[in-house]
Amino acid sequence: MTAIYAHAQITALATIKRAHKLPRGSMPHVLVGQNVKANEVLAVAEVAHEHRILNIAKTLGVEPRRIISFLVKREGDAVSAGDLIAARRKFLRKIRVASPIDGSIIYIEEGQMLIEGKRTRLEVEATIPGKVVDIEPEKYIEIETSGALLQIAWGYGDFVWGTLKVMDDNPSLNTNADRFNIDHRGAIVAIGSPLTEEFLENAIETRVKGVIASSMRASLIPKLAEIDFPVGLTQGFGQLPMSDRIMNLLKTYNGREIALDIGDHDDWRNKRPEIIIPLVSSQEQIALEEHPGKPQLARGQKVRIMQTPYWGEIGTITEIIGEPRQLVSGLWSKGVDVETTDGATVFVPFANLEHLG
Amino acid sequence: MSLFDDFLDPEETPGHKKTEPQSISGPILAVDIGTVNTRAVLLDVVEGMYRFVARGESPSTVDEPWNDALEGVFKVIEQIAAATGRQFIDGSGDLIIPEAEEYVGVDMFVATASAGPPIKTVLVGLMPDVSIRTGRRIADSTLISLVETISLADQRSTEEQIDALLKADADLVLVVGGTDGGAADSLRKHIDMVSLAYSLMGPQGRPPLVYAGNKELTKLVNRRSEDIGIRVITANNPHPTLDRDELGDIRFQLASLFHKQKAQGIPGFGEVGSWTEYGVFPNTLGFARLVHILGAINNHNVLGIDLGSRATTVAAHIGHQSYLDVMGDLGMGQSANHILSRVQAEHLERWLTFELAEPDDLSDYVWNKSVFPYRIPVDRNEVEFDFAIVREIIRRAVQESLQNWDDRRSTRALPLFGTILLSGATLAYTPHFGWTALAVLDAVRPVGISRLLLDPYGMASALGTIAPGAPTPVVQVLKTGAFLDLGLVVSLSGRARRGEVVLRGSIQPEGSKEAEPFEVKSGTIARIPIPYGVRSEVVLQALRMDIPGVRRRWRADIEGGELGLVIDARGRPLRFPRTEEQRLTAMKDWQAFILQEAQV
Repeated sequence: MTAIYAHAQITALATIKRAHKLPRGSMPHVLVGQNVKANEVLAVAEVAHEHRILNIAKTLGVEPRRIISFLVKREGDAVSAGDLIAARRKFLRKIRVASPIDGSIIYIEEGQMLIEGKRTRLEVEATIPGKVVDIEPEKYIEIETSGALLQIAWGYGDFVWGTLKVMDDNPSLNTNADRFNIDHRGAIVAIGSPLTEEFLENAIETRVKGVIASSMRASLIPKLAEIDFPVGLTQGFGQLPMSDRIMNLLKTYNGREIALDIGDHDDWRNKRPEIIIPLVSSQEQIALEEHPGKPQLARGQKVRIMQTPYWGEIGTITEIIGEPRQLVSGLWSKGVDVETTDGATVFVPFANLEHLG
Repeated sequence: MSLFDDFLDPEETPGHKKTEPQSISGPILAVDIGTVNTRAVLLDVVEGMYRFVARGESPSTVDEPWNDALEGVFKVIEQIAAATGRQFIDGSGDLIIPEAEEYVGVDMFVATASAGPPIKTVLVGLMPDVSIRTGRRIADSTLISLVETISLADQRSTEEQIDALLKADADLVLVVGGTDGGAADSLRKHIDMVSLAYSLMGPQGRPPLVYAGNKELTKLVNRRSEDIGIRVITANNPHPTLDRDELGDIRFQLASLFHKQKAQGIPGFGEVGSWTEYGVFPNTLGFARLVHILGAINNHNVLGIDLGSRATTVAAHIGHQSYLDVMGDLGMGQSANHILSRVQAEHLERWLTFELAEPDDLSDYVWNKSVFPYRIPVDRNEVEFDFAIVREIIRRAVQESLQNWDDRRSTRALPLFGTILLSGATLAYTPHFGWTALAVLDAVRPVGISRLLLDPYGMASALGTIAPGAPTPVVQVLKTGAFLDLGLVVSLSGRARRGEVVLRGSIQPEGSKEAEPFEVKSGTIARIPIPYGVRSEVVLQALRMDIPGVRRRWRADIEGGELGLVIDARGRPLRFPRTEEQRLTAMKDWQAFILQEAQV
């Protein structure tokens, strides 16, 4: 019996559906069936980040029920910081209550007033061009497109849409950080080698939109907190070259507009960051089977190996091994024989495989 | 509403109808949906006693491409069906319950889970050391993730607290605090603040409110909730008086919410839950109850450690008092990388017997573990990496739990544990059980005499969940070998010169004519072979060091476990060698000691 522990998609052509989570109180700006661009706003929410409670009765020195006669502003009124809200003349002294913030008066009750600060606009973008296929208000909007999909190992940051510029011809372990030119400004650059601090610094200086690399050292993670563009790793952590298949796919789409989507960090699912390369012309739109069936491990199936020395390499299953085998670690495990791109056959436990769809 | 009534203490949920054990005589099926694996076990009567009959294990299917917990559940049930010839599922895909005829269906079914989205919760309470601490314990035990905490110690203004509550975008607000009939002003202010925050949320976005505070204010909470339109759940006050803890009811209420929230977020959860009256429960509660049962049966202190992919659970039964703490951000899989923010890399590296080729090798490994949590180690170095992480996670988890153990808060001294129960795939699936035992000795640093039990099939939480409804089957399964006995560990405390003999002993297996003597030197670990399940008379005489909990001379008739009898003569507190060279030598020695049997 086989066991699929992990699944990822690395495919030149797929129907891609992505649901965008909507914030509470958001309003959809699109309709089902509508075609949208990558940067098009799907929904908008206006969110108040600041509230102030003013104890008007206490400040004026009156009974809560009496404040109504001293109010200058009413429920629903917009106010600016410093605006007079309430005033009372007490002997020769005038007691004034001013708004501490810009905003609006939400309500007045029991002698107190609640002011809501200015609302900020939250926009949910489509992130990929495609068609709106489902809307659940305040929950999600789903977009469908077709194109290449590469689910990669790890990412940092958010989402970016931009032109892919592949800087390498082949995967390697040596990273040349001195190759940036004006063409790379505003582009998503991809290298077939590990990300280094020097490369990252040059990428910042060039003002790229995003970086795709094969791997990086974990010690570089704090450095990523200083950058304002996303970084994606195709293989994982360490000194690992990019897999040939991913390198070739990226080279195929060099110069095309792509989405590098690191995903929702709060998502509890073990969801992979993605590179999505939508097809651009109508001729390229191909009807694909929406439900390709349950994934299976079988001879001929492409898998990603998650163990050294072939870490991240994509190979093909040549044999399902029914009986457990002992690994060098001493553990026993069932698994498969996988043929790697260099022609070697290696036994890989089920747990160290990623099924590719 | 009775499954958790007797959790921790039958007296702690007054007002609840106590669980009446059901008259179960047929097979019992238990399923646990974990973050990485889904497991099932079948218990049935064999030769007049309930025994563990079959098990199934398969990768969990809550993630892509399945996005359906039921897939994994069906797989593990299929495995058990294939092994036993029993039919479990009917033509419409439902579990057959009760048993319809011989080999068709089961009499009882329970389901536990740790997988799925965390329930984002705002905790509102009074004193940090009392209600907030209790609130945290309650939240941890039901796998609730706290995204915001508001207490009397909060320096923020009311407005800022409201803004924080709104920003938290929580799935649940939990309000605790005060004693029944005690001062209510501070809590009333909190309730006013929470009500105001709710009134600012859109009607669709108001999360349920759980109130478990001073019962004098329950009416106020209900009135406010009705006015605003909040779904409110009231539970008994966990601190009805200052000297009483009654966590059972609130835990039960949150466990019920756990099922409902998960059922909304994960396809398949609802279906699995519908096969049982109580829904799918957090596996942490079952694990804690099982530790409690072990303590009650053996009449000694028990420590339970469940090392999961995302979280680590520490349950303890100490002097008839039970404790449960869950470190939601410390695990061997998805959350493995969090250990790097809790300890310095050198703390992990100190457990290795080799020098790293590159300084980042271990950190890279830890990060890859959180990206690919299901991976298993392929070589010896990776096994060492795994067990270095295991040690530091367990050490942190036990140290943090210790602060919640009533009489240990001030002394910080580990009590004597008669049994240490270990659960979790990394601990159970190992090249040699010596790795597990050594990691526990290094991390927990027990004192005195402890039996190490391993939960190889991940049954502990299932057994604990079954127990209230069917206590007899659980006790019988425990007696018939639910757990793997790793052996008895004798941990000496005190100091002695390295290499000095600190313990002399003898062992006489049943049927053998002569006792065989042995000696153990300071700074070493000795593994004395005793065949599994064979009773032997053991005599131990401590010299210069002590065996805490017993006199210097100890004589007992014991049963051997997987590792026989393990004597840890490194002393307590455990000291690390001063130089790097000495450290490397010590690590190699300690590994060798426990992976090889001593020559008696």
